[in-house]
Amino acid sequence: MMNLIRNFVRDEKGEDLIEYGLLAAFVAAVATAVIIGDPLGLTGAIEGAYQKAVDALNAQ
Amino acid sequence: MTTPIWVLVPVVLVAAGATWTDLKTRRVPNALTFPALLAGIAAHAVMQGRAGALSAALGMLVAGGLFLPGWLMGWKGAGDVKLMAAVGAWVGFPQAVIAALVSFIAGGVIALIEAVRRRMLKQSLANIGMFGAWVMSRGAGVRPMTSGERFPFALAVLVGGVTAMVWKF
Repeated sequence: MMNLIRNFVRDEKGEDLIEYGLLAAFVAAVATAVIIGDPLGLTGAIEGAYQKAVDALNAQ
Repeated sequence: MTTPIWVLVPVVLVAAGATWTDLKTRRVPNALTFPALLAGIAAHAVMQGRAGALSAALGMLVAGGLFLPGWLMGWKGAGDVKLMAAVGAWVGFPQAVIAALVSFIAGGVIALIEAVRRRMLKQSLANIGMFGAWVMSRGAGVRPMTSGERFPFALAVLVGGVTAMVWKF
């Protein structure tokens, strides 16, 4: 685990595999469409939960 | 609500700086990403108190977290993950979700252009198909090979970060 963290900190590479770029973009496009359409009302639920946390912090 | 200038300017400067070094050296240096990340959280804490710190910390975790699996698979440079986390901290939650998703999509456009330019689109799509089949078989046999061809990603984070400041939830 420590090695993994060390490798992550040391790695400064700024390149992606082309296959990954294509695949991740497709998945992200689907996810974006789901967020915009929001068929399950998840966006509102997450925003509501986040707002509650913010209100609780501000009330302190 | 429009994005405040104290968020807009750092996001553009950090992501544009990363794009420049990435195009020149294929690296996104820690000397840029770590200070940017810490400054993002500190700026939100100073300007918006505890709620701001929460927004920045969540933004960093969500944006960086969405990019981390790509690095764990060996497909993404950690410089890009740290850059995305820093931009996520600056734009805050929930805008960091938009920043990360749009970065992925912009990265796909760059990957597509590079694949066509290097005459390897067909091979890349075939590799993705083989990887999909390997995942469907629950990892039976040897993990399929990839082309090993890579493209600079920081420009996509610049596009994602700017979009997140314009397109509000």
